[in-house]
Amino acid sequence: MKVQRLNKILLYDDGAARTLNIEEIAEYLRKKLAKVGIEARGNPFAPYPVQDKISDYAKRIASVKIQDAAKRMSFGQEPFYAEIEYEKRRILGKTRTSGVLYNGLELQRIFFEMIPRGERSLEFVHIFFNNRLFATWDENDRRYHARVSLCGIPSIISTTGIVEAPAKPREYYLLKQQYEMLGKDLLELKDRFKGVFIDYEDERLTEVVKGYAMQAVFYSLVGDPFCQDKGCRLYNAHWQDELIFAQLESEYEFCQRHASFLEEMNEN
Amino acid sequence: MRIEKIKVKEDKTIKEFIDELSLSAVPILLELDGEIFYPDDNYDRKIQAGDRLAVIPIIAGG
Amino acid sequence: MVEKFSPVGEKEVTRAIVTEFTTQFAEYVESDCIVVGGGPSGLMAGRNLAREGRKVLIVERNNYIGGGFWIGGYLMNKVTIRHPGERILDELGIPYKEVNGGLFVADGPHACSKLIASACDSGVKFANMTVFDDLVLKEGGRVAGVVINWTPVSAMPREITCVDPVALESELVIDATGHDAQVVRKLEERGLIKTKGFGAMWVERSEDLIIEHTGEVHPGLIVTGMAVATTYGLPRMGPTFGAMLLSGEVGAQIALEKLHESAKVK
Repeated sequence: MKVQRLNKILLYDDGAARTLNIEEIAEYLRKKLAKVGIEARGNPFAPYPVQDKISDYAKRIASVKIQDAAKRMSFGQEPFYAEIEYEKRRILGKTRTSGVLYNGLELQRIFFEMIPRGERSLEFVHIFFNNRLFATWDENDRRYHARVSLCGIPSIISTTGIVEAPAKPREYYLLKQQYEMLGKDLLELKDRFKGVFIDYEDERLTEVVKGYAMQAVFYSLVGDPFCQDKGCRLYNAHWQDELIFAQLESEYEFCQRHASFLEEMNEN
Repeated sequence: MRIEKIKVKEDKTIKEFIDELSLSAVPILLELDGEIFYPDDNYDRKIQAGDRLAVIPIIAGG
Repeated sequence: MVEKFSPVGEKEVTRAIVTEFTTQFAEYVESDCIVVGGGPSGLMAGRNLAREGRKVLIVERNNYIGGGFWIGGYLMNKVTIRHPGERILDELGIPYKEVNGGLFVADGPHACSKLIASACDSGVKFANMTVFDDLVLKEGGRVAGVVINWTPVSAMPREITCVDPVALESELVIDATGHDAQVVRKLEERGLIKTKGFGAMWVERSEDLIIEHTGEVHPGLIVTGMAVATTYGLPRMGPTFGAMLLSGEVGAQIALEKLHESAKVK
């Protein structure tokens, strides 16, 4: 593998789930990548205290909401005042309420501007942790798909994406349909499937996110965040049970290939 | 698709570079001289023969 | 021995009804706030505003007040509320049970009647069997009241009824009409705003988003409850009422701030 030399890994908190321990993730990365500087930078919007700049970013983020997952979004509709205010509160760290679906590529593009000019190179791995749910358009089935992560500059990892994007067991969706028809609260359904998937406020969240952070690192290192080995942390899980296996239950953290690679990196 | 470094063979614009590689509809970033940028913000920017551009695909997970 | 009813004649009864009704109606032709929709979010908003001494009228198209709060899902008359909505149940004196961590259940009839009673005790007045017909707009497009008619009249074709609606003025209007977001849609018809319909239903819990987006959508118009989801394209909620109650509470807070600001300007 042709390897990119890494200068630093920067971690940002764009309003991730409260149960996510970014400091623990930083510590984990320090252990895995002994020769790379790791820095937790907090809120990426913090350098922009000026009200007008915040309003501007809030408006742009509010403008990239996806209304209909089956329709490619058109741009140009002005967001409402309440939508902009909600985004402002998010940016200022006053709320972490999630549930809005965003266009992932457009969101990433806005976040790109938060990256200091001198650090926009492959030597720097920028990872934004948040709980925004984002999706990307799939031309094959012509609809948006929710994602856990988007590797780029910055890479974005969504704690809401971890819950919502990888599919739950089929039985869950069938029962959910029944519950909805009967008007029963879905909290009861979640009880039945406790532990089977990663949920909001899940205490396993930080451990799971470590794997996705390593995917973002490998993306910069070798150009590919993923691995075909289902037991490797770099496996691109599309189902909750795959995610849980790769991140929590596999006998090994990384497959032979990626484990050796990390060893070599730390020696040289 | 993975990150790939491409050597530019002759002087052209970023737009021409993207079109030649049929990448205009693919979500990517470019890196030149250690700086990453969005191609569509820099379509008119000139690149020269000998320049090494990294084509960085944006990859979604999950 | 059973006490006998007073020997009041029919005409005295009628006179009492008519006099009381018209006195109140005339008084409420002008108010601080008109809430369109007498469901849980509208009742909460109205109640909380009236408790602060504001003049509030709730317009409800049905004969009965309470909207969907009488019954939970699928006609089962238990209403579920998620934390932190149980604080409102405590405030209203509604008994409830904790089903599991963070989920509470109460009797629909008990909860609903307590909420209506609390609104009445606070001084809210109602115009039921009354349907919202249109908006009153001031110069600059500011919402300044509603146009109403009797529900049965509005159900008939205009060609065979000639009962004109009447206008009521207010400083603020609250759209608490649920999924239909009728008041917001009227603004949309006039080209003053554009609603977004329900958003992609990825997330089950969007109650927090309803609270976050409760507020003024257009000068003079506040949106609460499920109308918020329709206006901003938020995910449709599940069948729990916590967000309705809390949204009404937030709506009232915002309305009070707006009324305060406008009094300062005057």
